Amino acid sequence: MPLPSSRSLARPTRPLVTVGTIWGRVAANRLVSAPRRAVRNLALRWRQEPETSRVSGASTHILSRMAPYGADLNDMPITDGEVSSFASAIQSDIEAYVELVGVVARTVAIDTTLRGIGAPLIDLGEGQAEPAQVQDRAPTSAKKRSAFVPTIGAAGATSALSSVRSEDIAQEDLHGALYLSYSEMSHLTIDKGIPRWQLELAAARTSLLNQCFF
Amino acid sequence: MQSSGIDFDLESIGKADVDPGRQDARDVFRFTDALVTHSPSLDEARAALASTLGEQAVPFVSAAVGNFEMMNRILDATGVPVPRSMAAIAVEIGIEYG
Repeated sequence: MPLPSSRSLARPTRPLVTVGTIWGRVAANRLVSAPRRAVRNLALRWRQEPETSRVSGASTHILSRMAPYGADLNDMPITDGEVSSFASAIQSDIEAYVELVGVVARTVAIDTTLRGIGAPLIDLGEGQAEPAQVQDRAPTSAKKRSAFVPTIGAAGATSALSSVRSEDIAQEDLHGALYLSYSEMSHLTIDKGIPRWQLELAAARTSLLNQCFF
Repeated sequence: MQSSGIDFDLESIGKADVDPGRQDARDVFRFTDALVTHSPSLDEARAALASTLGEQAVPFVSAAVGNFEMMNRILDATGVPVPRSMAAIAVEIGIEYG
């Protein structure tokens, strides 16, 4: 079955198979010997049991909280302290955590969509690695406010990953490809193939199962 | 739903044991449940969804579930607080705010 949107998934998917903005650098020192496998391993971690993960202990600890299902997300919710400790543990800055969250979350999104339509999962092979994009590490105006991570502006659904520009862009791209663009969100009766209210049923039920208030 | 003039039990959104009162909603919920929980009954739920809403609905619902699997994880993992403005709707759809 074809995916619903005319937009390609290529741009939001590409960071899943390339060296990450931050993890490419960190991975060389801390995680795995081959930087180009670092982001792939992060993404694959969601598909693997914790015991088989080749990611470092600190990453495994956090990644185990972003479980594939449901109630697990809130059985042991990630805390502010753990996020800060994570950055220290991997000897990097908090933006490394932001990138990890973005990579794992987008992998879950794409894998879920593909399972839903009965399609095979995307091969996160090593051959597509690209060098880290230095410009994405330019200083931002992100500051720590009410969330665990710095954000540009108030912390919210569309700014959660804003401290890492590549992740912020990828989240918005994928949101628009899978559901609605940010600008379409205010159109309550929009119909892009099925009525909006049916999309909202799926959205609300997903959040209920994940015990996520949003 | 109210903007669309769709009539069904809003509490079924926040409470899985409340029937929505219409088959299309039941099938969306059933498919979503199967997909999110990695249920072995996913194929059956997909067929039921396609039967009720048409095959074209399956990729849209799948993608919506995928998007919210992403958003739930991002928001939980980054600790974005729930806005106070959501308190009123929480009551309406049968969930506890905060």
